[in-house]
Amino acid sequence: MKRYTMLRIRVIWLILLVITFIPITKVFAQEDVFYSTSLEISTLKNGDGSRTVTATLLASGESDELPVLKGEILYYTTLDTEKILLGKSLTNAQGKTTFIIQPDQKLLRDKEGTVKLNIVFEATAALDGAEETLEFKDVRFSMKLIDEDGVKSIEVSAMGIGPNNEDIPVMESDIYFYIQGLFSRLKIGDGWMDNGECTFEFPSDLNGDEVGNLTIFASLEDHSEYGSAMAIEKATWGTHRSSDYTEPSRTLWTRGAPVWMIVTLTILLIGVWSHYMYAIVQLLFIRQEGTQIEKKSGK
Amino acid sequence: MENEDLKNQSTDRRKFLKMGIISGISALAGASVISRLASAEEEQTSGEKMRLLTPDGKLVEVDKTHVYPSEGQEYISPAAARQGIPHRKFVMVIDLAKCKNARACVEKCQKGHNLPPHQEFMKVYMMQESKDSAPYWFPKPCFHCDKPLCVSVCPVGATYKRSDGIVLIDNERCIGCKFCMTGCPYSARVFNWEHYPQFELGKDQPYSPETSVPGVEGTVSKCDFCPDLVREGKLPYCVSSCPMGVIYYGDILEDIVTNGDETIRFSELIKNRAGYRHLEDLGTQPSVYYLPPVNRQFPIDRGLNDLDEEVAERYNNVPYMKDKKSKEDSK
Amino acid sequence: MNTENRKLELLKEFSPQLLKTSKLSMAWMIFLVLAVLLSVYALILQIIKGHVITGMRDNVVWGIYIVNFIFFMGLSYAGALISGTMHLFKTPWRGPILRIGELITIIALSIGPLYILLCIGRLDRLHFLFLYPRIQSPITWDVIAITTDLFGCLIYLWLSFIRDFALMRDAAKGLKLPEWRVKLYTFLALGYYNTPSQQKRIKNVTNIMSAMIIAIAIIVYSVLAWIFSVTLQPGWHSTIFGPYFVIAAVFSGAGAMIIIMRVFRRVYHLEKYITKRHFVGVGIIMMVLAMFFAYFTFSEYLTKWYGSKKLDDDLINVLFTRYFWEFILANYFGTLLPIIVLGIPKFRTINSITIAAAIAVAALWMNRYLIVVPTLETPYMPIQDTRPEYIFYGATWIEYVLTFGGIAFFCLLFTVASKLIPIIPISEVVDAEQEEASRFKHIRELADKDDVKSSLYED
Repeated sequence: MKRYTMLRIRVIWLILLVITFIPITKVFAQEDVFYSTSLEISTLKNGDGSRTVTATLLASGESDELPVLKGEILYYTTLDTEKILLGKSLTNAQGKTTFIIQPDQKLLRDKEGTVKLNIVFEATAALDGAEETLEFKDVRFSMKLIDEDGVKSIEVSAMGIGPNNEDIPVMESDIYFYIQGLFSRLKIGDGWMDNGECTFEFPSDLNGDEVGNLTIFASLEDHSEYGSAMAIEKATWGTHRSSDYTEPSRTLWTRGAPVWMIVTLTILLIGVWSHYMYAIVQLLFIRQEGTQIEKKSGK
Repeated sequence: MENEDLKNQSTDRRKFLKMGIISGISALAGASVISRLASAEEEQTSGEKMRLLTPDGKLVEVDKTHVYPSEGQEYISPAAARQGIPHRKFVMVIDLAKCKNARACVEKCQKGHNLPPHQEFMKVYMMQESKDSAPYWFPKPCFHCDKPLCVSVCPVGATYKRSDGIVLIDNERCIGCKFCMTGCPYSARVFNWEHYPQFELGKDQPYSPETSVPGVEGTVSKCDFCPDLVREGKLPYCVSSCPMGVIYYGDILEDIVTNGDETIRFSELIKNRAGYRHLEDLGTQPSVYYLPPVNRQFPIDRGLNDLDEEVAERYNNVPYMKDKKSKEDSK
Repeated sequence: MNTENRKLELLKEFSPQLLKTSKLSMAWMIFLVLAVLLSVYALILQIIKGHVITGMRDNVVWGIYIVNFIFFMGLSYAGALISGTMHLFKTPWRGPILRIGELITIIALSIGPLYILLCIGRLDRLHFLFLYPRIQSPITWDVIAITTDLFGCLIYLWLSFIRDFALMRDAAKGLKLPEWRVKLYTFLALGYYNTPSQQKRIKNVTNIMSAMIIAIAIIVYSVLAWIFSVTLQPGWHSTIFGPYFVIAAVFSGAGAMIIIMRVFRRVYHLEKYITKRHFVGVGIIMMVLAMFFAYFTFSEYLTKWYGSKKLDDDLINVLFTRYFWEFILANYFGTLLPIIVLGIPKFRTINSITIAAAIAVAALWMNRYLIVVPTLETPYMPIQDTRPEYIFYGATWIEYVLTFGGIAFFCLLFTVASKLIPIIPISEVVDAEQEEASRFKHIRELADKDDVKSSLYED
């Protein structure tokens, strides 16, 4: 209760400060509504061994929920009482932030190999603190592109990391495959993973970019033990249809006109204007003769 | 009413700037981000407000466009806009089975392009080919034809076909002869008959044919397929705003289209759903495909709910509506 | 010399029209100037307030401005075509009315293009037409064609005027003309002294140019028609539009010529020169053109109606319902009346021919309106709009003022021109008189020979 009163005083002080400085703007602190914060966390294991952690910091009042801008999020790996700081990051205007745990950063594991990831937003003068923990088993997830006599396939390997860093093959799970499009990823199919391995025959009719480059994704999605993992590879496996489309030249709608049009117009214009020139030359002759007559009669 | 709204919108930016500066003075956290957002030039205000909180418990209300800033948005000059986005050919697929005339596409597009209330780049028609055929909702943007008659007839090259398939208008070149409007068989083009007050909203930003903003009196404009958004990796206004995911957009060369939720191969979508182009026999080769209105998700009348009277009356001449009205009258 | 005396004699006869301006004609001219000034005011309003003050909107993007454009260009080409043809084929009675045709050409040609400018939203960017031309656009064709036509007509006009300018220059002292006019005539006469070599040159060039003018007029008016027929609009996308427009143009031109002949005959008392023979002559041309026009119109609408595509059908429906009386005036009255009046010799009087011509000209204006407006009101995409001005076109007072302003400007220029140069081309009239005399002589000679022959046969 005491903390709350202190907070109120601070808030009111802030309001006064703000009102004195900026009476017209729409910045205001709210006296009546108290905002408590909450954190959301998700993580994705990358093909290169790193791990992406995404956190979202939201503040909820009585009736609304708002993103918190520039909130500092701390990332810890914990085991029992041990707590190691991995790093920190600031939220953006949507309350979101991502942090990448590098492959060489050690995560604490318990006897079963479970990792506890703890993220914290520390209380500030105005906002309550928040904290969230995620438990998962770490995994090594990678993909290999194989091109054997034109038959293209993808081999995915997924190995859980045991308590002593040993490999434990991932059993019975769906693996999804995507390629990157201009705006979003296109799902090209799925495969069944057993004993840590999955092979997928790559479709032969995908276009790719102008030379056939494709960005290929393989992903393990929401696995009960290992969470999500995704590996990315690039390959020139597309059929690059772009070469089929050639820009037209010398049409009605291009910059250059069709040749026949230019030829016809030129012939017509030369034909007509040469007659005009002839007429003008004749008129000049008439004038010449006239001036000569005028000269003679003048003399 | 309307003018007041406009004033509010245009002053919003200034207020925001001021706020940025003052929060800097009071050395509050988050100020630097806000002032960075605010000073981002060529930003336009959408008028949509969004509120957020700083760790000091400060509540700020900002324009939505500032919350989602355009990353690395470069200015595309009228000369640069003549070059298409390399190795792309844009295509749109409109699923008539899903459209319920929610008009979100129309409104978002108008907002995005600072159009006056009656000017619509995207129009939703109630189509009924004949008295006994079924009526259906028909959203119609510019078709960005591969054989664009509007481009052919332009005497000054103000409208042009780009390598990425997009047909744009350079409003700094257009002389306003309106020949293109008679050339287009799809009534896609509109004329700026006067200086609309909405043009003032985009006054601060330099004109680009890719944004069609700010509008210019005495020139022609139309749907531009939003290449400015595409350059930022965003979908056009009509696509992203549609609540039903009716409109798919993408690159025919990579054969992928998306409506924001779902990403599909263009060729499969057209093959499986018997996609077609409107008035194919005219030979203009549109870049917009339609999926026939079969197995529809909504009855046609759903599209008549919650319409402004002005909009609802547009459809009075459609046989279906006449029939409906006479039935109501006889009751 | 006999011919020179005859020319001076004629000049003296026509001198009142060149020297004096009656109070009535002064008032007439002031009225015209006011009408032109009013339309300048309307134009300034249109530029300041934007095209929103016209009746044009997104569907009917071109209104009566483009109708006037077609109309005046039509008059212009017709003048050129008729006077060129008459000159080339040495029509015996062409003399007194040739100049009227030529003046119609040049005056209508300087007014017509102004109307297309009124359709343009950004007049400040007009030079873009030359800075960034696209050969594929029919508007570019039109710009080139009209410029070419204007030059050709100016040269042709000068050629046909030059001898009369020389005459005016030489007779200036006798007529006590003001100094500036003497200078003007001296400049325009270009040192023409009617020497045999000058005569030969001018005859030669005039022949060439009259042939050129005919060809150009056909091409130019077809180009104008193609502005419409290259589009896909159901009422415009027609292969016969080129010849159809050419015929309509010459038809309207013949009508306008008859009206103007009637006016000048009355105002300048030219009964002796512009006779019933001329009215019937031009009238017959008009009748033939009316038949051609009726034929084209019939064939255009018959094919649309018979094998009716949906949109063609819609258009025909609109024409025969909403535009019923306009359609009847444009395509029945306008064609049948000249045919009846001139087809039946009993009806051929100067006044009846003039009335038929006036109705034909009005009908042709309406015909162009029916080509432009109803087509734009029935586009491929159904018009789904609630704003009445976006659905149906109706011209505003701005457009009407500018239309009447154009007609006033036409009359004004014609009046001024008739004050500067005799409306009857003196040299041509004298030439024609002599041609006829020599032809009679030739015939008499032949007859004489025949007499000899026949007398031989009788033997």
